[in-house]
Amino acid sequence: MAVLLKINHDGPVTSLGFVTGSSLLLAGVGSYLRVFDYKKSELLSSFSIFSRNKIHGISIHDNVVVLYGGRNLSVLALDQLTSGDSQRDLTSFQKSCDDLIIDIQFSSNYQTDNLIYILTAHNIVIGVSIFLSDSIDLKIQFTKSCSEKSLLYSGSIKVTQDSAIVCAGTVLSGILLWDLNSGKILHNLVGHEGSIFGVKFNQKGDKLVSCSDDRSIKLWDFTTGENLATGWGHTARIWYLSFFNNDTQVLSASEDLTMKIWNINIEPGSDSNSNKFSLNYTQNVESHIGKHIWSCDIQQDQLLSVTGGNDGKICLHDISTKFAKNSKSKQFSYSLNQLSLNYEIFNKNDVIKNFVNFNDKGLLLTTSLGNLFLIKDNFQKFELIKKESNLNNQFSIINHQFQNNHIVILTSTTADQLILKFDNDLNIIEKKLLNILTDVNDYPYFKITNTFKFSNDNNDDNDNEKEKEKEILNILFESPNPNNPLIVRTLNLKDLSYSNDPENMWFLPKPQTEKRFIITCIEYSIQKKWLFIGSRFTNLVIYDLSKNPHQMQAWKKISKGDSISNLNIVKCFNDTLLLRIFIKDGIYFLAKITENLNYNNEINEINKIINGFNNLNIDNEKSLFQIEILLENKIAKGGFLEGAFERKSDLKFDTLISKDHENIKSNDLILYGFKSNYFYLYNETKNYEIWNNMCGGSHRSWKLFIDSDDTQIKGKFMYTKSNSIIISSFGYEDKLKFKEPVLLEGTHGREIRDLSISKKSYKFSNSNSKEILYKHLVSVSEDNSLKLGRFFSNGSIKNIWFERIHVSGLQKVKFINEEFICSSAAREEFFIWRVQDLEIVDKPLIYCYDKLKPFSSNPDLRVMDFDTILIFDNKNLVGFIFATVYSDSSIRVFYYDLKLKQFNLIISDFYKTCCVMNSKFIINDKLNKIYLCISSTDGHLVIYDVENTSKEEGELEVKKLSKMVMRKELHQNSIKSMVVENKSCEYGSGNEYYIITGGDDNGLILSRFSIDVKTGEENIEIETLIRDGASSTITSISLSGKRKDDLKIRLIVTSVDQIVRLYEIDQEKNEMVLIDKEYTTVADTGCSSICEFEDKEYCVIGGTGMSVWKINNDE
Amino acid sequence: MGKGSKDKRDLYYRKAKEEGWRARSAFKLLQLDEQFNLFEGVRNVVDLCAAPGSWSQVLSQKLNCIDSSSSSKIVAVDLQPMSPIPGVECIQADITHPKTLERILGIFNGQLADFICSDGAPDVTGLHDIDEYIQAQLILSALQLTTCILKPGGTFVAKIFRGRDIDLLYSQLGNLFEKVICAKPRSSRSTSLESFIVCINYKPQKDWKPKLTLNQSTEEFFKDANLGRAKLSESLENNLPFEERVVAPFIACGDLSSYDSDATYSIEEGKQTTSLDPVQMPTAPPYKKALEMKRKGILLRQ
Repeated sequence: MAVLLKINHDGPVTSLGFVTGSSLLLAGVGSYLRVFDYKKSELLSSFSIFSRNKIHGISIHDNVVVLYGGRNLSVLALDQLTSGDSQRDLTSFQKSCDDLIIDIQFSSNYQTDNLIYILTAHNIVIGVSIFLSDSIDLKIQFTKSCSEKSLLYSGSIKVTQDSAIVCAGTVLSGILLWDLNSGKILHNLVGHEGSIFGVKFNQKGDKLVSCSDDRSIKLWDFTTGENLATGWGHTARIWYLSFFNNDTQVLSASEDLTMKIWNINIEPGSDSNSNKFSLNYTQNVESHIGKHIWSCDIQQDQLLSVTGGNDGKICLHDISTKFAKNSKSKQFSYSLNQLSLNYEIFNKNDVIKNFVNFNDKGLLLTTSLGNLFLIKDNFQKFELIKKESNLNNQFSIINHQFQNNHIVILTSTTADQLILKFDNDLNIIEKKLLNILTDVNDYPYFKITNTFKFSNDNNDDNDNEKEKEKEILNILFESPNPNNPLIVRTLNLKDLSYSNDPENMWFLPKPQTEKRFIITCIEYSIQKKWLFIGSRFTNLVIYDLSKNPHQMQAWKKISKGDSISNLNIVKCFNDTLLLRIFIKDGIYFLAKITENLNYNNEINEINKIINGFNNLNIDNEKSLFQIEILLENKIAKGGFLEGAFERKSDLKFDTLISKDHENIKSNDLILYGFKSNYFYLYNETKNYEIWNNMCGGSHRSWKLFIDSDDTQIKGKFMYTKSNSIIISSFGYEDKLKFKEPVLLEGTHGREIRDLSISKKSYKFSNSNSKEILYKHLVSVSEDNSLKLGRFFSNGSIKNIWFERIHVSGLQKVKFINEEFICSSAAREEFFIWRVQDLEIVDKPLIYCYDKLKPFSSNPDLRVMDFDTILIFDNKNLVGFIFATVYSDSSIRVFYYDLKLKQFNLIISDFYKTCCVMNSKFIINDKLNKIYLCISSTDGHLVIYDVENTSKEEGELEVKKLSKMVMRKELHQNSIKSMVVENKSCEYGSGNEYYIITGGDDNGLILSRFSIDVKTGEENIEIETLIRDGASSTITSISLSGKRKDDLKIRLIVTSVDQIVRLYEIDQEKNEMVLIDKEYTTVADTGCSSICEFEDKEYCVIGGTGMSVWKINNDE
Repeated sequence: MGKGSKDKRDLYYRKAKEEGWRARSAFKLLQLDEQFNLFEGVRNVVDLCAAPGSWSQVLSQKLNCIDSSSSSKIVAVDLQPMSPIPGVECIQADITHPKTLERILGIFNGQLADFICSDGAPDVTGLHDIDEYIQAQLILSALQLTTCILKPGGTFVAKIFRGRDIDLLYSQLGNLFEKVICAKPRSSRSTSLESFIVCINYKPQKDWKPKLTLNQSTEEFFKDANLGRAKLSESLENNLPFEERVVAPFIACGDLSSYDSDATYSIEEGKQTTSLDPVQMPTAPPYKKALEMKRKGILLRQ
């Protein structure tokens, strides 16, 4: 029985195929086939198809499914793939032909001749007949070719009534079109530069489209061979091309991550032969990450397309003409000209300043010249609300409250207010004029620049409180004078008057900041009576209004960026509150805010300001409120981040072997904001753009209204554009073609460089209150990202956060305990992250706790590896010792103080001039020794004694490394991977260590490092040397969890040859032997990690994709 | 990456520019030669997929071909045009074409070659199965020509990528050469899959006469050569046929004290800090026009 058992795989989606006339979708993910019901967004089952090759193509005819990839093909019955009881391993059905397969099509008379045509990379077509009986029998009927046997990069077979035309996309000589029956070359289409990556006929058979390395798309006339049009738009290679919508449009998908829809425009000439054609793309859809959309298919009847990326994601798209992400058809507008001309007050300098939306029943607009317009009766009627004669001021500031009635409060800069009350038909039923300063004597020169209202709209924590609050509305008045406080007054909504009760009037001093304090957003917790204010230059202030006099806490410059664009309470508990903070420049936080019960009001001045979030832990103790950042991230695209909301979404997890799929309710985070000239909604959890609108950019008055239900995100985006107001709605399609656009979430978009799994298991209850165990899995990639996900005990991996704080390609990532992770990257980046899995939040959260400052002004070194020692003081974790190694041969050792958030450099030295690859501490408590073991590109293993250089009290001097105690040449070239394991006391002195190294030279070496107790002398012996440990570079070694009395130590070794090997070290014999090896479809195999769930061991392998293995006991 | 940072990140890149090599890959051949003493007694040399020509530059220098009295002859073949190199006969041709073979033999006055090398690599797509196939086809094409023109006992050196099927190739080459070694010069980054096969002492198959004809696939060419894999079958085989896989011995070459291509070096003080221009600009890629259009901002949605 195999010891290594593959249980799951995630990776590039290399082929996709809709099954016509059903809601089935077949997807080739590596060598596995996954079958979906796309309407329900459900994975039905998964099958293992080929033992080595990936599935590159899918052809379906009724009940016959042909899958191919590399030299392999497999013919299967569709029933076999849809019945729930089928066996999952179908590799026994695979056949191989002697050349790479480019395309497979069914003959036009398949019902009678049972023939398929196989086009191979040498421009040869093999005709194969299929006999479906108990078993599937394939027989070669013929082999045909034309006179040119050029090597093909791409190609397709167009089946015609009595023959077929082969469209061959060659590496060097353009496109060859030849007739299958006669072997005659019909056309050699030249005009593209470079290799041809795609060529396809339209349905009618009179035109073709093609693409090549030159990144253009060409339209050809089949009869004449004439190039009719060339379209430009992709910025990288195009991997998919097809006509759709009755041959009127073309769809393309590319390495540049976009799917584009092209219109074939025809400008009629004098006769059909002189028609002028052009190709323009009208749609640009981006829903993958990293690089490459590898696969695509079109469901022609439904006008649906599906894309599969290198990121392992599968995404559905509605491509009907009706659908248009920036469609103007679902958009209507009112211009000021149109409104004001009727009243003969049109002034071309007047523009719309602000507006109120009455729940889709109408709008109220204010203009720069002080006009007020009401649009009502289903937007059919509009009227001018005359200015009051005794008011010369412009009511440019507007607030709106919707309860049983609509109340609109308009404020002028001179503190005059006009309060309007409307009935449900938007007739004005009450009108009131007042000045808010008449009864506030202290501030006669209070100019009002802005007002904010707060009440109980958003918070539903306390019902009694809510009833009471409904009657009132708090309004905050802001003045530009830094000495003026913020005035908060309470408006009684019943009689539209302000309360004079001092209990209901607050004068809140502004924090003293260097730059003017300008409010950008507010948020209020009705339960706590905490008022949160965000401002320009990213200041955050909390006022506690439950106490009188109120108390306040301010944080200055909490993040880099221009301003806080939004604050948003997520949850409120007994003593804590979760707040989302959005920085306009694209950063968002989730913070836990608690009241400091030990806060001493008398010692601390009220106006205490804390600088940033950097030193939170230190300053928190002294402050009124304590903030703990739980999450920080940067948005995927540039532009402005304005806010977010959550949306319910099922969390599905499934594997290759298990037949039952688990479902758990979960939420997706939806971000919105502006990018260049458009507004967007982006699903941050699943990483795709939901909607965008070309509104012209962020400098305008705008409002977003979301009214999503369980099935879809719906809403309206309203905005002003010069003197018009535009209302654009989204998500209101009559009939949904699918439930959820993302069928498979995938992993990283580029090669995974390293991964690490938490030791601790967490519990999760599904709807049937069945407990499911999971661990935290963190992976880092060449695409500069770090992903945190859940690794479930059934082998399924679900990503949660896609962290974009790193700006360079990552090298290593490790859990250093249950709470902290470290990651290292190029550009001298070394980050400490904190991961928390709190009961109050539905998912684990990750925050970049600290960053090591680069040493050079222009950081260009890669931090290749690091190791850590945890430092405890009376069992409390107080800090870490890190040993970082660099690409310029530098070695640095730091002490990191967790509380002070401070890196203290202890040792700074270098090995030679070559790149150091690995870093590992060897700690011997008995002998009180600490060694640092490094390996490098020169193939040497080097051990330093760092015991003498460890941290001492009061020591400041940065030391050099003491002399190396050991330097041994092990490998011929770079040592890529290295692990150290203490040899058990049962089998030795207890002062012995196994060092296992894997190199670029294919070698795997077991060395034994020992320290003599009497003499203190160190020694190293090579115990096992396996020259051909793999047929290519050994990229990672992972140790399995060792039990104390186990004789054998197990390790997983990965190599670029895509073989996963399990080795065992016999501690008595000091010998390492191979136990099992299995092929993995994860290419660029580069990292691995082993973890344990209830005594069973699992291994996750990373590269281009991820695979999950169970390590069985061979007994 | 700008020129400046590449200078620093990649010492060989800078060194190549300083020493006048057309590409940093020149050092790879130099280091291979240090290890295997490739050019001893070598007269006739073919450099396949030669553009931009750095290996031909090395060959020309090593065989002293600039001296007109030299008896050595170097032919550089590539589909792309190459700027002339003293002492090297450059021909722009397809290496799979029988005419090319005739032309080379013509230059050698009918003599066979002592040494054949190829530093060619196709553009990678990122789809491993396709890339490995195209890479294998390229090597087999070079090997085709090699079996027609290399004299018994001669040497063949080619760039390979140590992907998942490299053991198959080692096994095939083992049938044609006495020794097949996988060599990695220090100037080739260890982070890259690139290596070189050094095939020593060509021993032609006894009952097989290689014949390069037009429109013939590499599989057809090697059909009767009994190389293990490249066999044409009459039927679709069930599962994967047995294929022999061998791991070639690995040798790292270049002195350990030579520069490390993975390391970051600081540019020595006192030396000029301005970045150098490349000796020869890279050949225009097929997507040159698309790049220009992107730069001008005219690839936008209409």
